[in-house]
Amino acid sequence: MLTISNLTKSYTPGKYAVDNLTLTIEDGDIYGFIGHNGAGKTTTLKAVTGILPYDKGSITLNGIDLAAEPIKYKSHLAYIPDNPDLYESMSGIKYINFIADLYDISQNIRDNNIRKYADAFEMTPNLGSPIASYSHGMKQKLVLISALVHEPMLLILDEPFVGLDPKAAHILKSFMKELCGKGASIFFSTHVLEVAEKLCNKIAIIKSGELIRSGLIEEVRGDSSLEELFLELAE
Amino acid sequence: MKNKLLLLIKVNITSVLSQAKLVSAGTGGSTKSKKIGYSLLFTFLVVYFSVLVGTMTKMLYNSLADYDLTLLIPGLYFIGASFMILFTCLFTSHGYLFKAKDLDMLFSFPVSHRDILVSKFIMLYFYDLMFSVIIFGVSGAVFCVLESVGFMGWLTLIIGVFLTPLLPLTIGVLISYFVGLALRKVKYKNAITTILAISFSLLIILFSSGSHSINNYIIKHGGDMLRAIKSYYFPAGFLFESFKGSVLNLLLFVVINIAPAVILLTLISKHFASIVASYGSSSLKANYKLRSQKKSKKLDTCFLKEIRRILSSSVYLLNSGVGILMLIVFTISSIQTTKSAETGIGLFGSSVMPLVAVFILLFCCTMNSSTSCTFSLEAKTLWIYKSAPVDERTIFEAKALANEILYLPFILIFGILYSVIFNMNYSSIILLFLIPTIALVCSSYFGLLVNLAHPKLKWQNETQVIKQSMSVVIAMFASIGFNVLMVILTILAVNNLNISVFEIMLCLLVIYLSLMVYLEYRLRTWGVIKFKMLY
Repeated sequence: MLTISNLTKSYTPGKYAVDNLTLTIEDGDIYGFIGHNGAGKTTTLKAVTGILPYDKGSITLNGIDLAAEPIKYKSHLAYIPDNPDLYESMSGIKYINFIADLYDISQNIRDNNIRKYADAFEMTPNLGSPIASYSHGMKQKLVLISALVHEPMLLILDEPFVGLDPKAAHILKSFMKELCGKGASIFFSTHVLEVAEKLCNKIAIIKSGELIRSGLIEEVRGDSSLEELFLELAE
Repeated sequence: MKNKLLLLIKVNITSVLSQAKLVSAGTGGSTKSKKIGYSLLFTFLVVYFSVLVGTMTKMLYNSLADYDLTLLIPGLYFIGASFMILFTCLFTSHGYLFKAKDLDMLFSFPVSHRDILVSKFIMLYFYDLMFSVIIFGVSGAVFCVLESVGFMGWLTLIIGVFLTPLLPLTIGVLISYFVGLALRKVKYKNAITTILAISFSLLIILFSSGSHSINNYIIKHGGDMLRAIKSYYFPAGFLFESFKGSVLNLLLFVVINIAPAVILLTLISKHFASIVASYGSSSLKANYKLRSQKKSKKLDTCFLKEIRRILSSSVYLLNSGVGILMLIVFTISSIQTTKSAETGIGLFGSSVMPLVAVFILLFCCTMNSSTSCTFSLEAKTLWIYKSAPVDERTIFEAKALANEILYLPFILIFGILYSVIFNMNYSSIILLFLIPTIALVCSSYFGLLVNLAHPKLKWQNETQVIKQSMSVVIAMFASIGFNVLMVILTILAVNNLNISVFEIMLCLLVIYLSLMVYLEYRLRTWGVIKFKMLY
C-alpha cells in the first residue's frame, strides 16, 4: 500500500507544483492520475519514485518510508517515465540485465521474466541491438520489460500508452491487470480518459498542484462521463 | 521579416546562455555568487593564458631579433592557433554540426538546410575564436608593439584574428564530414572513430613535442622554416607579406580563408540531412536469441555501465584519457632529458629522479578525470539511477573506478619503466606506484564533487559537456594547480631542508592520502545530498 501524506513540492518559492497532496493506493488498485498539462502529475510521480526531492510530507510503501529507507523502498517499485531516455550505447538485453542487477533479481527469475515479457512485447529478436537503434515505441517496450522483470509491488507509469502500438498497449493492459491480481498496485498518469475509465478502479484528479477529487471511479464521476467531469473541473 | 539565419544564430547564443542560467538556478545556492565565481574564473583563465602567451612571445622575439627573423613570430603563432583549432574541431564539429539534438526539430521548420548548417558553423567559429584571440591575437599584439608596426600591421593582426579559425574549421568539418560519410554503413563506426581520434591526437602531440628545445631549433632553422611555412601553409605566407605592408597579400589572405568555408558550406548543405541521418543511424539486428543472463553485484554492474559509457564516445574517451597520451610524450621527453647532461633535471642531480617520475605520473594521471562530467552526461537518463534501489555511494564508487581503471595499467607500465630507467630502489618503487594511485583516486573523487557542484544537465550535444562545461575546466585547473603547489613545496624542501628524497615521497604520500580521506568524506556526506537534489 502506497501512502502519500501532505506531499508538497515547489520549484520556485511561493509557487507550489504539488500542494499538500494526500492519497492512498491500496494493494490491487489500478489508480489513474489525471489533470491538465502542468497540473503536477509528473512532479508527484517523480517524488513518489524518489527521483525528485520534495519539500514536505511523507511517502511510504507498505510501511517503508522513502526518506528513511530509500533503497528498501525503491526495491519494491518500478517506474516508467513518459519519455524513455535510456543508455543509448547499451544493447537492450544488457540494459535489462543491468536493471535486474540493480534490483538484485535471481538468475532464475530474471531468465524466466525476460523471456516472458520480451516475447510478449515481440522484442526478443531486437534485444542484441544497441538502444540507439530502437524506435520510440521499442524503447518504451524495453522500459516496460525491465520494469516488469523484477515483479514490483508498485508500478508507477507516466503516460504509459504514448508511443505504444495498439497491440503493445493491449498487452500492457493485460500485464497491469495480472500484476494487480497478484496483489501489486499501479499508479499511472494519463490524458487518455477512455483508458482511465476502462482500466482503473480508482482515480485522482489534480489541478494546479492540488488534489481535487479521488476515490473509486464510479463515485468520482457520478452520473457523468469522466470526460465531462474533467472538463467541468478543469474550468 | 527578420533574416532566418540571424534568428537561428540568436537562438543558439540564447540557448547557450540560458543553459548556464538554468544550471545555476536548478542546483540551488546563490545564483549571484555563482555568476561572480564563473566570471572570475573565466577572467583568470583568459588573463593567465594571455600572460603566458605574451611572455613566451617576448622571449622568442628577443631570441629571434639577433637573427632578423622576428617575422616568424606571427606566422608560428598563426600556425599554432590553426593547429589547435583543427585539433579541437576534429572532435567537436561532428557533435555540433551532425549530432546536435535540435537538428530534427530544425529540419521540420521552414528554414533552409544551408541556414541551419551555417548557424551551427558560426557557433563553432565563435568557440574557436577564443583560441585565435589568445594564441594569435596576444602574440601578434606583442609582436606589433615590439616591432612598432604601422597601420597595415595592426590591420593585418585584427583581420587575422577573426579569420584564423575559418580555414582549420573548414578542414576539420570536411574531415569530419568524410569520416561520417565513409562510416555510414560501417557497423563499428564508434570504435573506428575512437581509434582514429586517438591515433591522430597521439601523432599531433608527438609531432609537436618532437623537438624539446624548440627555441634553439627555431633560431637554427629560422630561414628554412620561413620558406617552408610560406610554401606549405600559404595563408601564413600571405600573412607575412601583409605584416610587411602588402595590401594585395592581405586581400589574398582574406579570400583564401573565407572562400573555402563558403564553398564547403554550400556543398555540404546539399547533403546535410542525409549525413545527419547517417550519424544518427545505428544497425538494428533482429536475430538475437535469448540466453541465460549472468547475475552481478550492484557495484560491478554500475562499473561496467560506466566503462561502456566512456568507451561509447570518442570525445569522452579522448578527453578522459588525454593524460595517457601526455604520459607517453613526457616519458619520451624525460628519457631524452636523462640522456642530456646539461638540461632539465640534471641540475638537481640524479637522486631526485624518483620524484621526477612521481610528478610525471601525478600530472598525467590526474590532469583530466572522466568523473568531472559524468553526472552531466547522465542528463535525461538520471532517472534510471535515481529510481533504482542503488546506494549513492555505489554509484560514486562505480564512476570513480571507471576513471581509475583507465589509468591504473599505465601507472603500472610506466612505473616499471621509470623504476628501470632511473634505477630506483624497492622502497622508492613502492611509493612510485602508491602516490599516483592515491592521487588518481583523489582526482576521481574531486571530479565527482565538482560535477555535483556544477552540473550541466541540459545540453544539445555531449561535446559541450565534455569539453566546455564549468566542472571540467575547474577540475582540470584545480588538479594542475594542486600538483604545481606540490612541485613548488618539493623544490623548496629539496633546496632548504635536510630531508631525503624518500622522506619527501613519504610526505607526498601522507598529503595525498589525507586528501583522499577528506574527499571521500565530502562525497559520502555533501555529495550524497547534492546527488539527491539533482534532477
